[in-house]
Amino acid sequence: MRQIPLFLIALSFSSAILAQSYSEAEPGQLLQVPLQALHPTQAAVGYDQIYYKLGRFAQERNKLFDEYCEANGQGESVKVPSDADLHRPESFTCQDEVGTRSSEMKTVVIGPEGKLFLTDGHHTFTVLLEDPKGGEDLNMWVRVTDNFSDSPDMASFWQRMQLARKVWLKGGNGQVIDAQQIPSQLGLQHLANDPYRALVYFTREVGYDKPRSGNVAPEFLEFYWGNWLRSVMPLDGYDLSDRGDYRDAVEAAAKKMVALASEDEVGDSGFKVRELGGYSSVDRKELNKVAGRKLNYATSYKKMLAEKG
Amino acid sequence: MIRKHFAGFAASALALAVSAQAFAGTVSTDGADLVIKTKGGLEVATTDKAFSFKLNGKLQWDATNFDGLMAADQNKPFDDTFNTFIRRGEFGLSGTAYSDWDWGLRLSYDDADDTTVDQAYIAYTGLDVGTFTVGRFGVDYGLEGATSSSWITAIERPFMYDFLNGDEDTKFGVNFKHSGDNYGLMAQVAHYDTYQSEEDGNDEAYGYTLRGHWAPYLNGSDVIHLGASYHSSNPDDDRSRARTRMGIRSDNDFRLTFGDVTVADKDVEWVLESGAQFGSFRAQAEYYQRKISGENAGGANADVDISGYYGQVSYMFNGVRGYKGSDGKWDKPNNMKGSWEVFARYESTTIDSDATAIPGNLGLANVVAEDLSDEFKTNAMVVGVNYFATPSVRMSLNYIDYEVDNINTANQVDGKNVQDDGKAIVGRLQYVF
Repeated sequence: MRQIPLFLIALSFSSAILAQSYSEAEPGQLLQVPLQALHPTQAAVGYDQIYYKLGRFAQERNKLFDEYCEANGQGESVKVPSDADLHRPESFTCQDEVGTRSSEMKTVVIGPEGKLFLTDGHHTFTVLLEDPKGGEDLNMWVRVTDNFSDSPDMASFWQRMQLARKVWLKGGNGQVIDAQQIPSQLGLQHLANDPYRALVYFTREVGYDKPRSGNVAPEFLEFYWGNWLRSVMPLDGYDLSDRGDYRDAVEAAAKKMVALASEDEVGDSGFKVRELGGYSSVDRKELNKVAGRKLNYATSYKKMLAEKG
Repeated sequence: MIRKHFAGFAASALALAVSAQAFAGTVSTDGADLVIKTKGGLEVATTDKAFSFKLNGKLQWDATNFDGLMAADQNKPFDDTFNTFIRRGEFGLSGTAYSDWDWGLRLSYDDADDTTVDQAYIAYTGLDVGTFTVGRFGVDYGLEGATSSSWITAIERPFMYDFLNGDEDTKFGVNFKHSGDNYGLMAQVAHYDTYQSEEDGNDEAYGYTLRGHWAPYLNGSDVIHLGASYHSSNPDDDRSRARTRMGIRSDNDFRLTFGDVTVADKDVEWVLESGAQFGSFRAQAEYYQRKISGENAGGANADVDISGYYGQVSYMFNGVRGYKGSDGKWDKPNNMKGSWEVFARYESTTIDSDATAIPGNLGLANVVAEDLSDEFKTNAMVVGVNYFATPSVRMSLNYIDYEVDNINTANQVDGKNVQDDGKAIVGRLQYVF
């Protein structure tokens, strides 16, 4: 009986140490943390993007391990035996050591009390959290970009985050929200759905691509596009559970994107089209590829969910 | 302005290449920002994808050991024969200019045909309704015919494709294709190397091709594929033959000829396609007919009716095959890091030639039909295994057991009785980049 209180004391003590060590983390440092320790900096994700990944990983098991390795900055998976387990990294191999490709890693900002605020990777980590082979206790590596742990309180922390453009203060419908309305945990049960965020994901390489040369891509880039699309393209006429309709929506969105001039500003984002990677014409080959693969998985997974009730 | 943009892109790409040669440290561009991909070949593109070029290629080395009928023309007829050769060596450049104009140029080598420019085309992709391609290019025809030779299941496509003309590369053609995520419609008019019309003097003959495909079920990597292809060669009184290698390539490139219409006025064929993949299991079958009508050299009516099919099943360990819904064809496996695939295929074709259309020999003196009034029946069983070591390296091993009915086995070639069957073991090493 005495063992339980001792265990709880030890647990709280180790948590304190953990928080303490995060407080001292420096920009560029890599941390291994359970997904449940990460706090979102946005209130919504594109559910359909997550459904696409979950659907694909259910059928193409090795892609789940690719995702894990890539998020840890390790390139792709190399050997994935039949008994490979994400919770036992020694049971499979990735191309490189952790952090070798640090620019591909997901990023965090250290907040007050050493809390970790995820600034890039909400979709990837939500997928890994929701996947039956992952879960909230799955340990992942993240890269620290800033340490704002010296903020006197949460209000000033969020203010700094806003100034650094590291928080997205809009809800699933594009409505303005307070930082306090951002859920404290990742996961579909906590984060709202923004269909335009998913739509933008599917238009990647069809109407735009994340800038990879020159300037670094702005964080929340897809939200800038999505928020603008929300103002120019209603989705009411599209049945996003139907692959053909979804394809039409992606095509329409891409056409809206490429109709803008490269120096035009994308809505009220403060960024120009070229800064957000806008194309000058729709890549139709890529559109067919997206429809045949990504939308196929996304709509099939949604159908399966609907059948399950 | 655009010209300057293009010139800047070209100069940047050139500077990049030169810099890479000289192992220089920094590469800069005076035009648009560039994205360079080196994973499989080399691809350079402006960030807005308006301009790009890609360098890729393929090498296939084959080693084959075969005997029986397909070894009839060897020094020791019908005996065990071992050959090695380069089956394909391809080096290609392709790209995009001004957003909507694609282009491609490919140099292709094989031990039989030497080196040729087998692709040289431009395509306009700027229309919603579809893509127009003009020039010399490969055409998607039949399910296995449309699938890239890098990713077909066996080392060679089913031998029914020997009897078909529609899958041949164009010499010069115009192709239109409309496609969606799970269907496609294609129409093409083209000149082919196959014929030069005698009736039209020195003009080359043309043919036209149609294909439609549809995947009524597409759920992730699970798919059901249906399709139909049609081709009219329009031989215009030129020669048309029904020939096959029975799936066995050799240094001598020996082929059996079961029908020879010297003055063909009609040459029409069609293919029905079906395929399905559920999980790692895949099955496919295709059925075809071809009809050649005309006269032989003596002016007698000479018709050839060909029909056949194949059925194939395969299973992949640690991966599944990709499927391109908009092109109606199989693609490379989704996992090529040590994945295995096993398959079995049975194929059969019947060639019903008028006696007047059966050649004096079937490809070699004394290899003749047993009964000129009877049809030829060819069949083969092929089993094999593929190993995908990396996305670039594939190794394959096939065993082929084949037989041809209606061959006169009482005849002799160099003192040896003609055989009507045989076996082969074929190995291939492939590198694609």
